[in-house]
Amino acid sequence: MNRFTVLLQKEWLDAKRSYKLLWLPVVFMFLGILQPLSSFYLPEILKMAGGLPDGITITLPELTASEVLASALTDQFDQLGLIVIVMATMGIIASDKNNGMLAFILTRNTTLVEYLLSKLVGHAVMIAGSIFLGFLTAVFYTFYLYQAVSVARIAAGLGVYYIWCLFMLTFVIAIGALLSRTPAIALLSIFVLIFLKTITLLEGGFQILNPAHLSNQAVSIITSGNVLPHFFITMTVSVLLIVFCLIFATSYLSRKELPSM
Amino acid sequence: MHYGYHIEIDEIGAWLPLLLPILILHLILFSVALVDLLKRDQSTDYKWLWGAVIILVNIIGPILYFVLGRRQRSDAPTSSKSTPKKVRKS
Repeated sequence: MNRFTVLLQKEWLDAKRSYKLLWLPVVFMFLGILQPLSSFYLPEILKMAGGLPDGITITLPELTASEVLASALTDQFDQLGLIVIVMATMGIIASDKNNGMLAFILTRNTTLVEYLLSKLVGHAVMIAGSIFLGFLTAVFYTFYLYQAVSVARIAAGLGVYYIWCLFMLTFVIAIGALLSRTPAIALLSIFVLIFLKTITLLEGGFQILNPAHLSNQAVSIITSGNVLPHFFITMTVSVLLIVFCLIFATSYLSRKELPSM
Repeated sequence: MHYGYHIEIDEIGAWLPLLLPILILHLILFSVALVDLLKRDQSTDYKWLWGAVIILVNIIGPILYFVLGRRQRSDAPTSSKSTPKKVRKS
């Protein structure tokens, strides 16, 4: 797989040149800091911002450390983090398509599968690193402000959450293979992914087929140590959807982009 | 009713260790974005506009610049270098 390593090196160089390697982890670290800090200092922030009018008292819920970590996952990573991941990956196929790089690469000695896999692996590693760093800062802050949470649970939850992130990545790649305008790709994938995320709020049997439900599973693992029912079905469906997205992208690109491949 | 924040100096001392990482991360993003913008060959208008975005919009400004502001240049040379255009089926 020598050509594959060359393509991976190209991805790495591209990530360095576009500063993606710098800002993606930094954004996730921001998000990781934000949640523990804001939920810990919320009473003081309210007081500093002028306080409540006289006669009104609100009772803020007492959060436990694991709940804070879980809400960092659902409130920050699943909303801003999702948009950031889509923004970082929206151009990876489309820009190559538009400036002729895709056709150029494929006239060389490479196959479409190697090309797409290099894209996938390069970005999957980058996203894994960013999420890990971001959650590490969240864990540090939570340990400092609240108390320690079992590290094994956090690792397991993060691992489950990462499958959902992998699904986001492959979904954006599939949409990127389908369309060629970057704003359209970003809009469509953000819309669909947030829609998937939102319908996890509804209760219902179809949730087990929803990859976004994995983030709820991750939350349940972190807070209680147990998975919600039908965990393995959701997992299998997500992995199958990831593979399906990749096969779809490969077949569509090979039919559309090149005369004979 | 008053507006704005009231922070005593000694309160800042207590908050500083927690806020320092945010400041450092912000400074890294901010300086890298600004240095990259200044090194770029673009019109002065373009530089002022994005410079304002980077400086005035906290945290999100530099990221917007990295995502949206850098694309113009990376597209421009490739189109002028006459790389082969997209090959369509017949």
